[in-house]
Amino acid sequence: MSNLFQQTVEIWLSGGWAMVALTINALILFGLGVHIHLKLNEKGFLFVPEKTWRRWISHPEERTGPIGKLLDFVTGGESLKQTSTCFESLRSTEIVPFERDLRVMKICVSSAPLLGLLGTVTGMLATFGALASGSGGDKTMGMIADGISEALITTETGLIIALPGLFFQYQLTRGHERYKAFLSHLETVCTQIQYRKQQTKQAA
Amino acid sequence: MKFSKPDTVFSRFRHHLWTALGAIGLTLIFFLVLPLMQTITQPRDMEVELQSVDGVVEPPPPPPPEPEQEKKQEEEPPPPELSEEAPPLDLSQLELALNPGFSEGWMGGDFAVQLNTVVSKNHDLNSVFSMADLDQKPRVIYQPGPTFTKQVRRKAPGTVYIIFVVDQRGRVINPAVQKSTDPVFTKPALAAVKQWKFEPGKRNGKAVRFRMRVPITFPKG
Repeated sequence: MSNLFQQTVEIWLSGGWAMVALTINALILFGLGVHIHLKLNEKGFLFVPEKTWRRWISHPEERTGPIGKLLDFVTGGESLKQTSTCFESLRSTEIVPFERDLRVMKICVSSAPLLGLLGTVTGMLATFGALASGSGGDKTMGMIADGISEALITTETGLIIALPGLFFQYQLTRGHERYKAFLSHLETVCTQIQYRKQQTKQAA
Repeated sequence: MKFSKPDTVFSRFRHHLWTALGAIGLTLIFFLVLPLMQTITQPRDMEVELQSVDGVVEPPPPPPPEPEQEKKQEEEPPPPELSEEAPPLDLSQLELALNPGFSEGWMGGDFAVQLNTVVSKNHDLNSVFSMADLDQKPRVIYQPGPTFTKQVRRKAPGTVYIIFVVDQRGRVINPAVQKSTDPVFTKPALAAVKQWKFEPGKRNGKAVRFRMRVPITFPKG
């Protein structure tokens, strides 16, 4: 295992400056991914069945957890307009941060192979520099080998980071879409209930 | 009106901690994939070790000796291009060239031809040259390893030293066992060596026959 770590450090060092950029990119990418994942889990919408939260709308005393708090907020309105305003406010506080984080994550995923490509270019420049300045001895061959190694390792690393990042981002986008769908469904249900209440009041 | 969950300091810290740990962990995992991938794609170690080679150059058969009188008849000095084309002297040739008994002048007309004659006269076919005498060292083109029979596996490890001649076309001729740790190894080693192909070593720009001594190691297992 320590041998594996040693090899990793050697590869990391052979990648040059592009490797530092790739590591920072990977940290931001996976950091944002974990952050979004935890935040989506905190919302708890996957753990409360529809039957339960439909019941909670008419029985406020039973509400618990994050969905309970959410219902407390959206069912406070007296009219349809107020309910709609509540949901609008909810979207701006709940959906927008996710969208912003997902957008940054998407940029990180796209930039990982590009950073790898940057490493390739600097590696090839180092190779050609060695070819131009060297006299063809062992030192020159070593410099050429270093340049080629830098060129290939950074490309590989960029792709290795981008591929799982892409799947991770897709998974999170899916989770985010489900949350959005949940909120829309909740809005529809709440509006219907509010409308029915109003109809009953008017009839009375 | 704003919906916000009252986050405690502890829960926020816990969230940030998990985020940082997750980011570092995932990054580390994907960086660890790099050496793993290289280990997987690495080719298997060759079972045959080719070590440094003591070469023997077999000089071409001697041309028929030219009559002494013919040499004397050549009176004109050669044009300068010819002397430029003459191959550089090595130490043994230089010794011979400086020996006044062989020719009238060492810048003489058919200098190279004369030298070759002299060298051929004084060295038999088995003259031993070091590898440095070859202008271009031989290169292996095709080198299959020996096949392992059950018997061989049981007796391994072992080493067989094989001497063989590589002809001008790079084929192995007359492989013979010089030394072997066990007679079991000789047959597969000889069979493998017979299949080897070389890009022959060159001397003065021409492919030459040379002799090689190669140890073939049968690793354990």
